[in-house]
Amino acid sequence: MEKLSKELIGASSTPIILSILKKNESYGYEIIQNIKELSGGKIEFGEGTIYPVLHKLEKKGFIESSWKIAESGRKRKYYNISENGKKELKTEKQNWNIINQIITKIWKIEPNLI
Amino acid sequence: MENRTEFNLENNIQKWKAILTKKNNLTKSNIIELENHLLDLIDDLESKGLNEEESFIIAKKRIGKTEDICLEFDKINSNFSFINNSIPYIKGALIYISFIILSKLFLVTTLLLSKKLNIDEVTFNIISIILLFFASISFFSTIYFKRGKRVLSKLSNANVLVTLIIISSLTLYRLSGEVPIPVIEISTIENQIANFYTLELNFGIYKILSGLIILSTSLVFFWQNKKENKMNYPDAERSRYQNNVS
Repeated sequence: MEKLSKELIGASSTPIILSILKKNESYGYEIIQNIKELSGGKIEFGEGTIYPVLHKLEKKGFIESSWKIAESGRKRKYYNISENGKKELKTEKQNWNIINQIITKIWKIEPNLI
Repeated sequence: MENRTEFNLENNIQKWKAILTKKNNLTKSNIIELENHLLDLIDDLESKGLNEEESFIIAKKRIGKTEDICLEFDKINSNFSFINNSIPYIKGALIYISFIILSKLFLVTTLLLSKKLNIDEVTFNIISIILLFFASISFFSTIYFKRGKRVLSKLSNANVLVTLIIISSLTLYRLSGEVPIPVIEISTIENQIANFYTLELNFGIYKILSGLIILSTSLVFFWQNKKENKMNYPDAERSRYQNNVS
């Protein structure tokens, strides 16, 4: 099973995380479990590196965070999508659709690339 | 038979956290977030039948190399890591300034007291030596005792130092008006160096300005650092947590 390249994971991290948070608020560990499940293990990276990505999104104002205490007594930082984030997700969707259309077009002309 | 020391999860987590803290570009809340991720991973692995040690090793590996994590955090915390790295230097400068100002204050107050109490030169000499001796002894004894160390580390806080410097320089300014400190009258010196006085004055102003800059930067850095390390709880959560703790 081929794993996705670092660059591709980096580029797709914003729309993936925003889409997960659009469903409901979540914390780092849960987001990673979600991504793993969705990708069938094709996306793999140091789990700790998701936090800088989350904080970057927070600084840009796409998500908001608050600390809560879990049942186990553990402190957890929960992330929520903001209105700005929803707008950003819309643009991301359009962008990825454009890329998708371009690639499908090319591969239709020359279908034996794989 | 193999003699193995027992694995201590708590110790190992502390060691792992210490490495992250050392790098200076992760805030306290960053480290708590990562630690809880590690604990969640360990719980998950243990529920799958692994023992504590195995779970810890795998969880640590899944979180990723500390170098990678720090590198990624450095990109978003660049401001914080710069501040964090410069705080020891600023503290050093502040301690130096407060030492100079406090010794000047010491000089002026003793002079003032001797003038008011009419102490003659010999007794004054003995008293000042004894006072200096006691000051040094009390400083070293506070370093020696554990509680003293804690007090000193609290005192070397940027906030405390800046307040101390401002208050003592104001008192110094107020007191120095009352004590005539001998000044060299330049016009009376033969062979005087050209523009010595102007240079002295300019340098004096320069010293005050740079002192002000150091004081204000350290205050700003201190507040920034505190802000970055703060964890925002919603009010309801905070009271719940406090109830849990008590």
